[in-house]
Amino acid sequence: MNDASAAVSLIDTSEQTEYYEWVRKFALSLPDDTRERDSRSIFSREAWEKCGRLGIQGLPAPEEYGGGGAGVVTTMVALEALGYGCKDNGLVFSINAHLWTSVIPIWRFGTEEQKVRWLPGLCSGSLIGCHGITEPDAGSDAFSMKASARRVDGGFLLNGQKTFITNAPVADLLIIFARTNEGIGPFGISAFLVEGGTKGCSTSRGIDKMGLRTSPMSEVVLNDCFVDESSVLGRLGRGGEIFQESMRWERACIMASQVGVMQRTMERCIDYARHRRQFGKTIGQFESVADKIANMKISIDASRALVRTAGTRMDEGEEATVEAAVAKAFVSEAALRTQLDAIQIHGGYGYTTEFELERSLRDAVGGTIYSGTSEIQRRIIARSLGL
Amino acid sequence: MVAVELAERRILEFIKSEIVLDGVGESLTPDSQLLNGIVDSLGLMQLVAFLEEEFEIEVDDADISKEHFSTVGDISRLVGSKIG
Repeated sequence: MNDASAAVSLIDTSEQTEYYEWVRKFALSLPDDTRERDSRSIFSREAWEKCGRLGIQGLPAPEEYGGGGAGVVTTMVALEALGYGCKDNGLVFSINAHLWTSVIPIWRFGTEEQKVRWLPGLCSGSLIGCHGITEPDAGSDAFSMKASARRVDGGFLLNGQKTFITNAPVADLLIIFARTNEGIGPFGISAFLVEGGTKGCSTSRGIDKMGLRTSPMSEVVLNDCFVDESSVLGRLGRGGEIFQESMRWERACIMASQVGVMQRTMERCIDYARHRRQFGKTIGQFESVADKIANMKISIDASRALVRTAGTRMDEGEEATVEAAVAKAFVSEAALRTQLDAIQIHGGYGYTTEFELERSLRDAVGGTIYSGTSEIQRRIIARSLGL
Repeated sequence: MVAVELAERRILEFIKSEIVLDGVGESLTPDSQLLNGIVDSLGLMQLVAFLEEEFEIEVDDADISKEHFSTVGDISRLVGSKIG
């Protein structure tokens, strides 16, 4: 069990198991300075670039644009290994955000010119991407956004305010969603490629968060930001479809990293329970402790199976919207329970920042909120059941 | 006219089988108001994708309005105008 490769051997090909080991070893070699950076909310561009050189940021994108050409399940295997080995959950979260909100939309909806211009840099990690959907009054109800894109000579003028934008403070490319006409529901919303530093597009104050503090986040303010016609991503008024595609990938894949984090946490708990002695025996000999760890094992195996099921369906060409929603809701909540139990097992030590378990708990809380809250996932699931 | 009637039947079938809640579909008619909770935003995206594929038409940004999407009848007339 302590051999992490065993974590994936049941359902992966030998190639994927080797890949898992490769990424895991790389991730374990990343600088162990997360605790210090977390306390000051500092993003590591250096670690980001190292991941880029390994090809993490371009995993599923086609090789012709600098990507890895990996299938969905293989991508999940790599992200699980990264989650296992890299203690900087904020960095892993930023990489996920970059993949699903920038790489995927440009690959799936971009023109040849847009792909050639942006994908190689995004895939190599030399560029950082993000997307701007959420607004102060449009969270789960994202399509009620008010940001506007008014057609002017040669392009569009973007105006509005976006909030909770992961990666925005360090982004070289922002995909901004704004209304081009009234439309109904998700229609009338268009997506625009906005280069970082474009006049009229600025990030305001950084947003201080409970967890994932090494992943930078801020508001984005658009004030008569001009973009030309070639900046439109996909069809005009059809940004909703781009957003849905982003969310489909994100919900399916982002929890793969959490499975790795849970595996790492469980192994720490096993090690601690085997060595920590109280009342004359190791604490692992107490059923109340052993049961918590057994529950972690159940959660991890179930989480991995759900994530891979969504990935397999996607590799088969299916949308897997419901499978992704099931995986997202289950894994995010299982991760939260796992991290909370890990602190309980470690007692007072677990409560200290030095043991770095409280950070993983803070990081895990975000999982039930980002990429659609657990409530939204259940709405998608219920809808599929005719409810 | 025949094209509109055929489109109406196919659209109604699609909404009943793929989009609406169980029970609601039974009472759906070409005049039912779709945007009052029968078809949500995800359903609307499914519906537009279906129209483009099924009838080999392009639904423009400007077409997707309350005027053209309030009822199955409205949608059928839009489709008819594009294939007619």
